[in-house]
Amino acid sequence: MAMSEPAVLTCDLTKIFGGQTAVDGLDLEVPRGSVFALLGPNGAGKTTTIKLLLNLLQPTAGEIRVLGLDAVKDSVAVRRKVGYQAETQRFYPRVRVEELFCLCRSLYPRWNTERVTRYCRIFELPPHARVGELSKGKLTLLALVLAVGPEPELLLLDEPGTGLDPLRRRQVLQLLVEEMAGGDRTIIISSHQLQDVERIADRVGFLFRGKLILSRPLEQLLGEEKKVRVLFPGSPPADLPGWPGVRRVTREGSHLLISLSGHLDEVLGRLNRCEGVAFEVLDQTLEDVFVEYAAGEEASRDVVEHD
Amino acid sequence: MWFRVEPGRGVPIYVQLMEQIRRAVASGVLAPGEQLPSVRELALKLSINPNTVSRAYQELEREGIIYTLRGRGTFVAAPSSTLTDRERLLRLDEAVEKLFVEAYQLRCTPAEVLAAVKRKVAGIGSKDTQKEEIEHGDE
Repeated sequence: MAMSEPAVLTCDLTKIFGGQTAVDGLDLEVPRGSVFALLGPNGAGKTTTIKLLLNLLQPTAGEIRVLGLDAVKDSVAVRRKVGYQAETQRFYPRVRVEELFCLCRSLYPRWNTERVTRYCRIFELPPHARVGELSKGKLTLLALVLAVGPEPELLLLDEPGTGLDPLRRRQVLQLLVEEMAGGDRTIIISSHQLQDVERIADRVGFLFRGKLILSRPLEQLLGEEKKVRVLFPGSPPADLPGWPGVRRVTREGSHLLISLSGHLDEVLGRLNRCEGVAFEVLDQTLEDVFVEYAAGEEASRDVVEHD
Repeated sequence: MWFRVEPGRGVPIYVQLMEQIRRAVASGVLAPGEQLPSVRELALKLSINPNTVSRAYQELEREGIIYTLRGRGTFVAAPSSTLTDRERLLRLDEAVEKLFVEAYQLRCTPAEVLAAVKRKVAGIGSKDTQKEEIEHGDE
């Protein structure tokens, strides 16, 4: 029963901090064995969501199930199965890297010393160094190694690429690919490095002001979100904004720019039936889609506030 | 074999990978029977999700461009199986169209064109079929 449940399932999850709603009625589902990228602007609620999954914060309302367990009631059992890399690291500065590993080995029965040693070599983390002597980037890498060391069923990574140069970021990606290849390990990653996300994510979720405004498989998202630039010889069909899949129509000089979410073939078919029409289909990157959706949310919010 | 994927191109990565493998096979960079890297190997090398590599391999296999032997790996298929019958005939039509244009410009007679084609076609296949066709032509 527990095995068939998704890795993460939240229902109407809400977190309010002193009157501010950080997470707002979140229904999140992360399938087992997938790599789920949690995207959103700063302050969207990504870190809060991750902390709620670990019971580092307690929900104001709603339910959270992690690996088939209740995240609040069974938080100790959850913590044993989850590896977590926080956004900012707080280690006791005088402790040495190897002492940290020694402590973890005694805490986790499945601690993988061989793998941890190899990652330390790749990331050039000196075992004798005191944690307080490490740079911010090295601290992030250390936290990452500590998160994967216990071979957790679920990895929660909060901004693993922050402050890293391109070589290190690539090494982090390779570490993640290696962790993925292991089988049914689930990874939830929050990141602003959208090109890195495109490389590794199976699914993406957009968080905006505490709400999940989109959650879709990445390939499907890139396959469906298109723009079509059209030149109508006369006036465009009056019902154009109501065509299937059309999210928005904007004017671009003499052309119209149609933002589409699916139904590309249907729309192209209809355009082909218009006399003398010229058009081109534009692919969009994850970043384009993200900015588009975020801007759309911002605009709709402004409308509500002005009413 | 060197592959390169570019996130941020707006094209799903599995499609980019498929395009590159197709091109490498068509240009002979990947020869029939040659082994492709394993899913895990290629995923690590390109730092991409292993599912993405699997997806590209599955689609290419469906197109007959590569094939997988269980437990042995993934290999480049023989060229004949890379195109469907319809695609084969379509390409042939295109080539014939070019020939027609050239023949028209040179003011060749239909008999001259057919004779030239027959001579060329006789060179395809084994010696036995060649002989048969020549004999057949002589009748």
